[in-house]
Amino acid sequence: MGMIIFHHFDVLVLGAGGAGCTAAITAARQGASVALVSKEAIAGGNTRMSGAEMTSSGVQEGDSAEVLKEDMIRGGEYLNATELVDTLAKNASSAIRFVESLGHFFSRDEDGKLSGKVAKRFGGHSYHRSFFAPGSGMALARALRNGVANTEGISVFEDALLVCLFREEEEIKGALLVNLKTSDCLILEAPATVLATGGCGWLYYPQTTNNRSATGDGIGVAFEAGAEMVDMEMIQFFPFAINHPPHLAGSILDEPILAGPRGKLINGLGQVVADRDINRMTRAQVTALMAKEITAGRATQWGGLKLDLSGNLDVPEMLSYKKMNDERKTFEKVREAYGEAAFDWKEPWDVSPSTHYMLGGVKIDQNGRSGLKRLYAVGEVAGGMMGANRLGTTSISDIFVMGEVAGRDAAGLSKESGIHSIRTSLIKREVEKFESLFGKKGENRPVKIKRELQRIMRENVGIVRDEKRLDHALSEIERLRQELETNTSISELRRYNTEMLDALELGNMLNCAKLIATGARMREESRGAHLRLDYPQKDDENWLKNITLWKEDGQLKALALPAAAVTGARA
Amino acid sequence: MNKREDCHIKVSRYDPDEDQAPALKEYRVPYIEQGTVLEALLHIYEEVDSTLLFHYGCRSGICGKCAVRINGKTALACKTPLEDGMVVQPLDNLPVIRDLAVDRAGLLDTLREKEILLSPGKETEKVLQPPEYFNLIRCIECLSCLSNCPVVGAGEEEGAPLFGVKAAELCYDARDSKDRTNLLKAFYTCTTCGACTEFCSSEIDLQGIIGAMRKRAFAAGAFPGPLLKLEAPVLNMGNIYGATGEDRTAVFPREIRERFEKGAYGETAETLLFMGCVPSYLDMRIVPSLLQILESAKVDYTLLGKEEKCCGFPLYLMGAESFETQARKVIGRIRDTGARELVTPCAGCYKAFKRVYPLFGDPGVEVYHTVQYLNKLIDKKHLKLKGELRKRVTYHDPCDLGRGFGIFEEPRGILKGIKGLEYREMKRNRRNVRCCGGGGDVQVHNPELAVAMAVQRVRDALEVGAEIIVSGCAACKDNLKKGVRALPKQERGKLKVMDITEIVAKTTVAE
Repeated sequence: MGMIIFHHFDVLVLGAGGAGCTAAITAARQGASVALVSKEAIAGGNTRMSGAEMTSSGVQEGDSAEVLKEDMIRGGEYLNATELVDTLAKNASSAIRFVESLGHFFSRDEDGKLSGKVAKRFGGHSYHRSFFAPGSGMALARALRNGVANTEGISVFEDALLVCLFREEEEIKGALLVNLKTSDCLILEAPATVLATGGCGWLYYPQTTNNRSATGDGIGVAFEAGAEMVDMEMIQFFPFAINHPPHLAGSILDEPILAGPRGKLINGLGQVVADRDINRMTRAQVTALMAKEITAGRATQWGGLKLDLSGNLDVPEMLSYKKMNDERKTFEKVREAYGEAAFDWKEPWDVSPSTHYMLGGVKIDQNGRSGLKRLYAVGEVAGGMMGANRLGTTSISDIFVMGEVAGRDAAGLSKESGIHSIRTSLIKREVEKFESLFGKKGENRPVKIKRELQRIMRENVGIVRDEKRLDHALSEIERLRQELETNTSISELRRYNTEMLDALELGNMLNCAKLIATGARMREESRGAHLRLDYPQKDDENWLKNITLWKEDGQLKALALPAAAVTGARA
Repeated sequence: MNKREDCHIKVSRYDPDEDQAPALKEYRVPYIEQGTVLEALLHIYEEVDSTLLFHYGCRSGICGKCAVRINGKTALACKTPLEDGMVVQPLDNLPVIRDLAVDRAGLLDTLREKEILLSPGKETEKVLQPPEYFNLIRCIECLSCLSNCPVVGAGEEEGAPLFGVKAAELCYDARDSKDRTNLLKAFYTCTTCGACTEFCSSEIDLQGIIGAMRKRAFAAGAFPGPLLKLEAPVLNMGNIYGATGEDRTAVFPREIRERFEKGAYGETAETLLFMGCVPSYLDMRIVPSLLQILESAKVDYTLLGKEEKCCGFPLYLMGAESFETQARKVIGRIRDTGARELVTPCAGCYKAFKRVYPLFGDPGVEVYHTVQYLNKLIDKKHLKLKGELRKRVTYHDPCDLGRGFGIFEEPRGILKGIKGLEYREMKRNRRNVRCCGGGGDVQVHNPELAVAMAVQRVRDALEVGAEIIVSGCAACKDNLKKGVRALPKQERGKLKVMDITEIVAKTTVAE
């Protein structure tokens, strides 16, 4: 058994991507002592992989926060938590200034200004309002690290994996973490805990744009603690991802904007499926279009469709878009996978949708508070903001806007609270449970179960779903849960035990999988990112609702509540 | 992998709690279509042993986390095509957590300690960033540069290239509000060997950046004090040692010196020998060897003799503006000889003439380094290597010739053509050479570091059982000799360091 190390902070932030770092910086600026925890080195997750583009509102005449909000709700097909959208839309432009103040930099016009001239119009947006970052996510990751380092009062814990939250009555009092390098336990007590652990795209590996650490840790752990989840059936796919060779499969390419005004989608029979203005469609709309062809057996030999961009070669706006992305090396992968002619847009290339973003997650209010007292959730781990589909560049805005809101609120809450010590018996129970992972002598490696789960999710809970597939998935998820709990082998290694890491991540992934499949099974319609073959139509009459899921007395509970768009109130 | 066959790769396994040292373990990996090293590691992890530790993230070259050494060279595992027989090891110079994973945490604290943090405070409404900024922000922090840096390898963290990138990024960021002079001096703790640039995953021209930063540093007076003692002698005396011009011919064999003094070397010769300061004043063997070889090959050559002046490369390295003045002086002198080609045994002079001078003017000559020139003479049968050398010999690639210009095969060709000579290759060779520590003016202000670096390189040679280290650079030779002397006698044995001209002269003499 390893050591048990105790720390007390005012605010505990779990996850150190954009949302976590922002919450930590904001809380610390309010005078709170903050612990910032990362499973790997700080700013290593999906924020680092992103394009790091952000939306603004109002750089073009006619645009405003109100229009952005309308676009997001229309794009989200009316499932969005309107108060969250309101918060994002109103703060989107100031979030850009905040991010730049940390050290990030957005492409300027020739006068050095962030003007409408350099803003891009992504699918589903009514105006040119998204700004590009020449350094992409890596530069954003550096800016975050810079911001954290420049802020007094933040203690950083790297290579620390979240094991569980400590809940007493209705309150969250802190978390158990494991230092992966030593397997020592860290007990971090705090009167306010912010979950910022990101999404669970890794459930669909290799058909995902996400990085290896997006295993839904926060969702899995918060679910165990009894937090309410919302919109879990809504998984956003990126329509244009590479689909072969294997090492590049799932690799992110671009969203509908890439198709430009003259791009075409061609099916495996050589028929043109769409031939213009694909760039004005949302990710969900393009994915649905592609899914229809693919499930009808009209896919290419690689299981996708051909994207033909040659029509854009005389569209100046698209040529400058290509140039900008070539400079950022966004499309190098096209060259690697499909060759020079494809890279130059002279030849069509094969694309398949790839899992990109968890639209659902922990249900929160406009301050980022979850249903459990003293627990916040921000960024991709939280749900509700984006509804059934997310518009391009809104997620980076979300992590900064909500990170700041929650950081401030959490700092305020911590000031009103006294010392919050966790009951020793509770700590003992959880530490013992954790320690029991080591030295298991079952037959299955946790990573093998992970791979099985990923296959099941891709095949049954992916871009297309139906009752049979979802029922199958749900029973398989139960079987794999049993397998994890009763038949895994985990070594005794204390120094970065990868099998222990896999087992804990797998537990979280299984929770996410169950929530996604359960929500998908309930929603008997097709809307946004959720496509049911057996219910192909949108059903506004019955399904302008958000599905809420939570665990109570060991059971999964579900409730479908009218969406905010219907009630006029917050979801 | 063209054939659909299994391949075998060796992977470093190491648990610092359990093992004395890392050990390579061989694994069989089934055929993977267009497979990468990362996929092979994942296969081993999933199917063979899930205690194998390696880091990865994005699988597509964005995040930098899967950087390892493959066949001794740093690379991203996700971007490297899999080949049979590959050896995969963790990055060098970094603490290994286990197996292939190095500790990537703690960068934040280091940057805070070094005060390499952006302080945006100026006007941010209107910002125009210079092109260098956009180049630098492409860094994916794979940490390969730390693994490749010989300065870091010698235990000196100050010159670590990663922090150079970060510091330069601040210097070029138009929004930064602090005076960054304090960050500039570290750019001198670098031998400008170019290893960081050679294998940079983001293809950042770090060598160029270091040069630009040194210019800035020199102008701001933020340079190591001892460098100052170089500038005046170069400008006033025409050499780095403050010696007289007469001394340049002291090293010539007597009969050549006498002929030279009588003016026997015609001003219309085809070939101009440019000896360089280190060979002329410090090394007593390179110049006579070279002269002797050219005599026996009956080359029509001329010399500047006492009139030869330092090419200015040391000034260029320190970032001094006076380099340009010196360069123009030397260009004039070379042009005056009317020679068609220039041969120099000095790798620094070679780089100056070949890469830097063209920015200011055209000396009007074809420039050769002696290793190229000797190889040419041998090829054209003007020179025959008849003698024998029954020794185990290894060649150390000078950074300025090897990585700088891709001159790798000529010296090896010469050595391998010598009867009796048993050629041994050091593990790190050619583009992956480990710098001897003799470059970048480091010797001038941090001689201890230069020697510590030489010791690393000498050990590379001892590891392959070499009896002679041959180089094509007088500074390498000088510094490697110091490295040899710094080792205890029982370790260094009878290891010698020689220049390639000496070896050739030795074997030509026997004719």
